[in-house]
Amino acid sequence: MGKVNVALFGNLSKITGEKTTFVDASTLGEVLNALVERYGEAFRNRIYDENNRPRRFINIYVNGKDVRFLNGLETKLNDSDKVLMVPAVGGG
Amino acid sequence: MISHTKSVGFEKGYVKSLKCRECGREYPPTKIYACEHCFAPLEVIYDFDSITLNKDLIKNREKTLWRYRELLPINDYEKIVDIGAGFTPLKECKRLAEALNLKKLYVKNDTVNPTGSFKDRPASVAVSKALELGFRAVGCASTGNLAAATAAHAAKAGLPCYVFIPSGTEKGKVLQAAAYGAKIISVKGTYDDANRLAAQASDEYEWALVNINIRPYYVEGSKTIAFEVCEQIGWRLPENIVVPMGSGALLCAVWRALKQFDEIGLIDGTGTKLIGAQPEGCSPIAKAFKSKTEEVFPVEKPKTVAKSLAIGDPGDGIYALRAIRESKGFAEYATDEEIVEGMKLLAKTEGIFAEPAGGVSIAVLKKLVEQGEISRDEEVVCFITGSGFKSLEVFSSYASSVIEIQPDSDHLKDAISG
Repeated sequence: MGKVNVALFGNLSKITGEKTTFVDASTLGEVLNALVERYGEAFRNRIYDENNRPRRFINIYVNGKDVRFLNGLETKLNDSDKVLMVPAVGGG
Repeated sequence: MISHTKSVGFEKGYVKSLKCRECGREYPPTKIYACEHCFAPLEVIYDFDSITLNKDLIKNREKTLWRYRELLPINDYEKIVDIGAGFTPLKECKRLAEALNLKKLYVKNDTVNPTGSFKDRPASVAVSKALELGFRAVGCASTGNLAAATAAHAAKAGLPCYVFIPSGTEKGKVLQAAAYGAKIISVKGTYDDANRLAAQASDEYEWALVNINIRPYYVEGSKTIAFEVCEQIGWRLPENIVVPMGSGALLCAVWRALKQFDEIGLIDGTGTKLIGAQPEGCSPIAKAFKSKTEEVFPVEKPKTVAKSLAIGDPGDGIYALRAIRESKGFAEYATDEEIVEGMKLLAKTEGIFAEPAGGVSIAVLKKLVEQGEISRDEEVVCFITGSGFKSLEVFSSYASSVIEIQPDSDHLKDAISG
């Protein structure tokens, strides 16, 4: 288990009231659980859909790498790793 | 959230709301760009009942994309930033048709836009909207073409411009954007890395990043390429339209345009088949189509000569996929070799000098005709979206075909016969 740095952008940070925080976790799934515990139902409803899956339109990165190219929620984390959650915006 | 009421406080403009493309929640048409509930993208909803637009009215207007202004999300026409984008030629291409074994082929030549690509269309609308919304600076994330388009419109508007590009962007595109006075931020990584950083920046700075935080308005500009095709072909629908796909936003805009023209009665129905074209080295949408899935899985490291289409995580991917299927069209990809051959064929048969994205359109069309998915008798409109001057590197092999001689007629004779 490590102390993980979490940065939140867009409407996510409006719900939490802060843009960065720290949680103790060893996987990405644990990070999300810890955030839900800290910020409550409103936050849960923003990051999980009705089927309890992370929403398609939030991109999550670990140390700058999209977790879809890692192990998704199973991605292992170490001390000082950086998790970034950004609403997926178009581009192109 | 608002109900179906016309926005108040504006003298002109027909935007009713911004609507979430997933959950359907509606919002007032302000600076919001993603659904506050599910983060899905928003799209502009118009009050079609109050739009009175007819063929005669359009026919007598300026030859730019603003001739369709009732179907663009601008309320204050005084704020329009117009450097002449749009109303580009739609030309029948008999020699290319013959080479591809088709009877009726048109090319929509968007290489002749002011900055050399179709991106002038969404940039013109987005920078106008940025002014209207009171932003003091604009910018974008770009594979190159949008950088130049946004920078040029920002220059005309007198706004500072910040563009985020991946570090491998073609030099011509970077220098062009810099010449218009933009601050160029070259991000070490892929387009998706640049796009993510731009998304973070839109949170930190008061900038209108055109394809990020004012994206619902931005994408509307691209509809005008399809409006023009319908008008130029005689106020009707073509049977097929070939559209190159990066983020998939252009193809979605085309589909929305046809539906809107049908809605206000300028054409009848939406029976055009949409053909989405991607380079093999970055073809997440075409691969999802071919494997019959609903999801578009991103490409981590795109590798293709068609750099303007090298978007690994296409923002409009699932919507482009749905539009292609709804139109009973196809998605296909082409190899780098086929793309370069496509560019050369277009140049040599029709005198149109395109960047690789144009080669992608031609190569995919060729493939679909050969596979029998498009028959010889079907009419096709092929979008050529960017100029070859932006990607001169691809044509470097032609340098060896230059014959240098002394200025006398004997040497000329030798050179011609050699």
